[in-house]
Amino acid sequence: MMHARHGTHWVILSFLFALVLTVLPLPTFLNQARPAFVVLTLIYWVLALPHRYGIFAAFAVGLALDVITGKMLGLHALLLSVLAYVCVKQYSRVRMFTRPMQAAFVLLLVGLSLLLQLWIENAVQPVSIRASYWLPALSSGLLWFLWFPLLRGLRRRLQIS
Amino acid sequence: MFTRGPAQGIRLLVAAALALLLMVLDHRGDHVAGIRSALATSITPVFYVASVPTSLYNWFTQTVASRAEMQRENEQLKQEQFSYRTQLQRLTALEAENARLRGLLSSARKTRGKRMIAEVINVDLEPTEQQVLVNKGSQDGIYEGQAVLDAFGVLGQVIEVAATTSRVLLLTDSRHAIPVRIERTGFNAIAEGTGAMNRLRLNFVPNTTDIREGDLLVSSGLGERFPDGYPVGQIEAIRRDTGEAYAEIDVVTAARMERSGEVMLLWPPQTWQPASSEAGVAPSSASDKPAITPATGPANSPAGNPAINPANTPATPASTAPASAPAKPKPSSPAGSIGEAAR
Repeated sequence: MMHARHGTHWVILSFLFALVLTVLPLPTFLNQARPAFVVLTLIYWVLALPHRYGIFAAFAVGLALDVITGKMLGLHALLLSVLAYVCVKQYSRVRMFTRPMQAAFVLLLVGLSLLLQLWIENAVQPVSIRASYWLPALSSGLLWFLWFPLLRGLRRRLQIS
Repeated sequence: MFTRGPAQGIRLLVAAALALLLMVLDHRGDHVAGIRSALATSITPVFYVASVPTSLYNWFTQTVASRAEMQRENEQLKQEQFSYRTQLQRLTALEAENARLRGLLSSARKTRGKRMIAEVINVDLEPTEQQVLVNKGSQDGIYEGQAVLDAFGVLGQVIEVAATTSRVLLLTDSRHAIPVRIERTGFNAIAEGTGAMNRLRLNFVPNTTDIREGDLLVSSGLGERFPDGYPVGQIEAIRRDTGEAYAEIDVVTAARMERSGEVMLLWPPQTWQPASSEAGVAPSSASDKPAITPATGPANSPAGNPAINPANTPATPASTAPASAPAKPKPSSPAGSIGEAAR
């Protein structure tokens, strides 16, 4: 592929930043509603640069997320690959969405990944959840209003393409 | 540009197949432990970066603490240390006496194994899993399945080891169970995690068992994973339903999981051989089988006594310098100056 690759290290850095935010110690009430920073970052980059960041990038990021959260190796790799697939398929449509619609799209995607995660974990070992399990989907949808302009500003300023 | 069309579907299939393979291998045993450990080691800096705000906050609050406050704390710590040291003197005397009596009965006795203090650098208390990350890893000789304590009781066990960090599964994780003994009666049971903070559950205790609220649970050592005699928890509530064969028993853990800043890692005790040392000090050996030949310790353990390791700084891994150990058991001289002062 002969695309001009520019700013890959900035993208990697943004993912590392999202990983740090994922494990940042937070008070309990905030911890329950911690947005899925890595998923948000992945959705942004796949929507913005679908020819560069797709399923395999998502797989690699998912592996890192698995190791860092101590989950079964491959769990997030699978979830993020599925999310990236949806984003790659729909990117031209989602780009046309208004911001609230995009946020709803993000909410749905994070909710979907939480649901898939619950299914897989339940298949391996029954787990019990509370209603707060779904809070990250909501907070991720809300954070999109902040995260999207932030990463877009980063991409434009640093001319990541 | 292959952003549309079947290529994406094929990519997804490849990724999904690979992920499923990894999951199956990871779940079915230690097939991918090497990959996992290597990945965890390379991603460790993320944890240190994430702990920077907390460390800064701690540093800040410590730096600007008032002089009076510091003095008060210092005074309190001194008193605490004094009382602990006096208790320890009594303990060493008892330990020596116990060793001598066991020697008379010529029965093997377990001494304390090596210990190491580690700091918690990340806490992950999701509803589905309860884990913490500590700042000691395979470089310090940590191994999977190792027992972890905090200042108040048994905290959990190591489930994953990277080079400089390791992950501890807490007792309260719903996948965890620990064999316990009710201290008052000696009744054995299994305490399972509930997934809730500081809560365990006793299963399969018959309705008619002599058990009361407030009874203390200690580890029984039956699984040979946790050493025996350490506090696990206290019975909080018992619900007896006459229609059921077993009582429902809630336990609150002795370890305070929400505030554990430092934890203690234990190595298995060595079986004490009456013939190997007249002073009652066992040779330090990391093997959990009876150490008949002394001085077969690993490279990072001193060829001396089982010592408390004061290494709580990450910069000095496994510095088990016996000279700096404050509470080295010295059964041959049980009455130190402080012990005398306490009598």
